[in-house]
Amino acid sequence: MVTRAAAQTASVPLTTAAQAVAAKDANQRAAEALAKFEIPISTEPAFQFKA
Amino acid sequence: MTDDVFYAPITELSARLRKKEFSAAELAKAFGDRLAALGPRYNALALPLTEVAVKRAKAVDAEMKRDRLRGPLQGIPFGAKDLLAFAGHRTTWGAKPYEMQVLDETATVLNKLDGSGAVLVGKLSMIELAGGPSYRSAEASLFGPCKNPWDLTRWSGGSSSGSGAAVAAGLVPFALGSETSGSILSPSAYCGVTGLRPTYGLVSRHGAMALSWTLDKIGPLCRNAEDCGLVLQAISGGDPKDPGSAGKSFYYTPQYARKITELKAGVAGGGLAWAETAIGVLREAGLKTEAAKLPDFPYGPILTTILGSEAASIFEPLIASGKVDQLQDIRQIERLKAGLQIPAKDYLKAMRIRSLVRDKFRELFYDLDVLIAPTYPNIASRLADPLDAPAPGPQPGPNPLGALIQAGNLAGLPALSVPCGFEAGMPVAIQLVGPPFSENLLLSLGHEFQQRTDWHKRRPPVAAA
Repeated sequence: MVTRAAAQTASVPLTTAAQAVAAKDANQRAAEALAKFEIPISTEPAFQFKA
Repeated sequence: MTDDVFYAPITELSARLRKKEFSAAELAKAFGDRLAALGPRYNALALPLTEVAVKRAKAVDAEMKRDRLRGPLQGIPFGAKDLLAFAGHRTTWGAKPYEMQVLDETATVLNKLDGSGAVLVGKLSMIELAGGPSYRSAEASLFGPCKNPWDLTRWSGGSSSGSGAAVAAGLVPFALGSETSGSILSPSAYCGVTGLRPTYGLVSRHGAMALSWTLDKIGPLCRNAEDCGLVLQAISGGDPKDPGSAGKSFYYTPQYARKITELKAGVAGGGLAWAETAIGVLREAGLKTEAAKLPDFPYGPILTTILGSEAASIFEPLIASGKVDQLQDIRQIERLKAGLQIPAKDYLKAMRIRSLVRDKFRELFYDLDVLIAPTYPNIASRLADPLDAPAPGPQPGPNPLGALIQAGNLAGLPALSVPCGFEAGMPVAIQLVGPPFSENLLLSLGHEFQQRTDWHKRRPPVAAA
């Protein structure tokens, strides 16, 4: 369900260690981008729970 | 059976079945044999089901003989991505750790198609775990890299790889795929078939492998927009077994479609001649257009965070067992593991921004009926190239709708990808994206486009087995 668009990042060596570092870096970059994005305090998450 | 049959749309096959030019059993045997013989050439086949299909088709023939008519899908063969459970048969999710998995309940969509009289002739290959949070190579599949029928040295797209290749090569009249972020649109665009990503919640995912509860959708890959409408009508509808179900049905009603001259599209061809030409076709048909751009959000980081978190949670047992290391793709393995480390605050922040994304798109569609952009700016990559290598062909400039696949998936919007030409001998396509539950509008625009073009009728060079 995920395409190359989601996969495209700078080329990383094909070793477990390098890919593990790259994965953590990707999460960190995403977290930083999200942190920078300011939202109103009233904004609720976009999911719903049906009891 | 001749190529005229193998490349016929559902509407034509249905008419010929009713005229008794062939029986449903003959059709199931012909497509089943063709899929079994040619599917491996493309690494598109996960599981042949010809014997089961012929048996089912004989029952369909008996129904038709008694004038028990179920609609246009009755007697039509199809294939399904191997993440959909078919009770009693292997469902591998394209992944080595699940290669012997047999589930005991059939997916809702397969039951619905069975109820419509459609006949499952085979399971189709896919990227392992539907791509997980990310993957690096077309090799990331239990079945090997899925080859594009237009050029066997190129990828079919993914993660619904076999679905795209099988429809393009005339191995099935239509197939089911699934999309979390681009996995219906990618194989549709790269293989030159018409693919529909339904609105989130319109089609039940019960019995489908979950990758991301809040993003997963199931939809059809077909020969044209009209066929997509017929299949969607059959598979849509509320399902108490799917917590994400919207509880809505879809009725394909082209007769009530708004006139194209009443519609306004936000467009961005991205400077690609083929995309501008395709948009021009719709403009000449009367569609009003204006330049559009996406609302300003960090779509990539939102998607990475949500998908990474949900996929890691779903596959936590796989990760904990160590069997995750049996996957083919090192990037997917490490991204799955790293997903467990994403803090709750980041997941929640992403989901909160996602609320704003949804609201902004709601506002955008007050003024516009549809967004139109290239499905992908590039053609299918070579099998030998890693997916993070630069895309083949001239590098496109920035497109203000360039993140439309990510944005549309985050907002749960429907999208239709229609073939619109060739670059370097490979198919290219545009996507039409509308507000939630606007599938009839997208399908009518797609049909209008396909009435004026014949890209969707082109056939790749498939030699006989």
